[in-house]
Amino acid sequence: MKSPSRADAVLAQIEDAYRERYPVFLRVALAIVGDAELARDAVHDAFVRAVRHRRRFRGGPDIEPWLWRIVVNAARRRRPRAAELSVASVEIAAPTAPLNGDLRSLVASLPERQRQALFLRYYADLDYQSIADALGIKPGTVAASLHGAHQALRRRLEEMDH
Amino acid sequence: MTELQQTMQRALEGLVEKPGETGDWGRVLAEAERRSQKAWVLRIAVVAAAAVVAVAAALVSPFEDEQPTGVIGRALAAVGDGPVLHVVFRSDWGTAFVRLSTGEVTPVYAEVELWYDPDRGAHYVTRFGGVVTGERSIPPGELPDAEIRRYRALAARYRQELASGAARVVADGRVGGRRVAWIRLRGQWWPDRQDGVSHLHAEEIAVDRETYKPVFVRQTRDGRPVPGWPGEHIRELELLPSGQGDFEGGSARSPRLWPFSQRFGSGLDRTGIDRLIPGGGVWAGPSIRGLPLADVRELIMTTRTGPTAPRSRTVAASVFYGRLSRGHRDASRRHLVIEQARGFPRAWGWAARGVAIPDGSVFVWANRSAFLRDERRSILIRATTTEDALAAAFSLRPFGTRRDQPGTLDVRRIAREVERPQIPAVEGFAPVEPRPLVRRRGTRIQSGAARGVTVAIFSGGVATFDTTEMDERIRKVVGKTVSANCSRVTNGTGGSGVGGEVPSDGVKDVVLLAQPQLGRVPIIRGRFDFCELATGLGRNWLRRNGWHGLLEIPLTTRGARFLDERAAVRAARAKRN
Repeated sequence: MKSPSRADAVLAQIEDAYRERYPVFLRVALAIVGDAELARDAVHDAFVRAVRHRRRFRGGPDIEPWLWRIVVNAARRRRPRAAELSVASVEIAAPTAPLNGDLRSLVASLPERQRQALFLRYYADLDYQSIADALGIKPGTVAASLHGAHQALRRRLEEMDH
Repeated sequence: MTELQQTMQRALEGLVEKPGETGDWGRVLAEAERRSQKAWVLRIAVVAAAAVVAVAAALVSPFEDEQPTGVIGRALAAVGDGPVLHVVFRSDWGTAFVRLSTGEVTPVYAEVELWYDPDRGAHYVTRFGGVVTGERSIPPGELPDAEIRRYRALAARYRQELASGAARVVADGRVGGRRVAWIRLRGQWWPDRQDGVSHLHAEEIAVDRETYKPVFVRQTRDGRPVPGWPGEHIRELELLPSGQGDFEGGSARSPRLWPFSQRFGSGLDRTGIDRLIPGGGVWAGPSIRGLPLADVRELIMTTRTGPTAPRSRTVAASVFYGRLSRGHRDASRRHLVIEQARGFPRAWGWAARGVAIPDGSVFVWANRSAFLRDERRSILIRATTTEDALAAAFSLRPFGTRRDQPGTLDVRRIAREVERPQIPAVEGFAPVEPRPLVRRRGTRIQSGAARGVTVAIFSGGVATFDTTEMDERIRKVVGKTVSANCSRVTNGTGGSGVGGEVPSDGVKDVVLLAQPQLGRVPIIRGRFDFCELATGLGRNWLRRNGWHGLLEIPLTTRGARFLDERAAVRAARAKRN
């Protein structure tokens, strides 16, 4: 009897992540590239790459950080040059939220690493280690990036209060 | 999570819309396959070009047609790609003919054959023992039966998943001694709250290793057999070119299961039986395998073909072997009944299924019954074991006569042969490990406590209940387990909750599963307003507790307000009543 190969098992994990978390992958990609069509292409391209190169996955309890790295890279590649700070042009879902206009400009003004860490933390609900794996940085750098983003937000909120 | 983080989360939630799309996994696989082939072609292009030039120079014959490679490619080529579906499936109904003189067993199969063409409709034939028992022709556009839709969907899925790359070869094996490769069609991971994991439910099709035609289909759970579903033998599954196929034939219903009632009449002696049964009645002697003859009487069967059709009455003779209890037949203990009637009573339609029984044979069901018929009479034997039913069939003789010599047939062996599954032995499974319902528990986002019970909600969709310090007064009134629920308040008037069972003295993670939607059971993530343990402890419980539930744990201000308002409404309702 032939047992399922490791590549088959990885493929099943990729499929499962795609089916369960596609909207989350798409949302983060959308936040990075700022265009829905480009975001769809980025996620599609990322998963095609993941399937083709699944043998490169080194294993581990969770395949998601590996997939996130591919998705983030695919989204980065598709980001239009003219919209380097792309959050300003993303589709806004809740125009009635008073904080959005300020937040949009605030997030747009953040360094790229901080923005991506924010999206992965709050949209994808990843922990620091997973964000670090996805962005190819150390967990300490993730903590520092998020701290920086939080501090920037705190300052902006204090300015608004005054 | 700090207040600042909560503010950040709320703000980001409104910044980028959460897409409602679900993606297209089939397109991902197809694209991956296409790119892989392209990359492979490019990689070998230089080497191949040189080889082709050299070989082409040496060959005078043209290149042969491209042949499909790999199991999936060959299976795809073997099934065809035309619009006309033709399937023949064989099922195990546990039936066989047994020759009375030799004990030779011949299995009787049930088969369905379907021709389906979107332009010409469906032609559906059922056979039992090779005899057509039903036939239907359905014009195009008319919704076919569920059975037809099932076969059509299976064939379409098989073809589509072979083509898209979603189907995967998971094991080698054998079906009835034939070498096969098992192809798993896309399965679904179904959460099971009982054991806290997701199980893979999938269809697997065996293809012959020589012809690559499908020969067997089975259902698996985690790659293992599903008890009670042995699978079906595929005699044919092909997609033929347009214009082919058998769409001739009318519609003929199989013998229906007529509604009927029956009751016992008066007792019978030999003369009475001879009067009822042309050619005389039969019996199995004064005793059979230790069961004494205990009762012989009329069996009056009344049938009708429909609610308004006239009734038809048949009187049969029923010979009972076994014990009597207070003058009545005791069917709760081992027993045997030989029922015999003139002609072929409609009420026994289920026993014969229209099958043509060869002369000198008995038609045996592995459900412990046997049936014989000739031109003038029918005989139905029912017993508590197949062995007893067969022994009676072998011993039948004119009523009142004795057998000169005992039979020499090995009844036990023959019964085992009848009961042996007709579906060929199937080998080759590819088990997979069930998956945890929640891969990442995530961070604790909420917590609360009341009367010694604490609950924590985690971002991954898990609620942990700790009842080890539960108020003793509550523990006394609940059982070993108690149902727990976490809810969100919607519109301030009601809550939608999910939960499970927790021990009344322990700690348990409950995966927060919602009702199935679109074939999947989603795990509910995010914040809840309150959790509670079940009430349901009698009509006075709420009254004694100020109209609050057994144990309510508010997690948010809104949740606390909801619980108070719910209690107030209950109190007002009780006062009004």
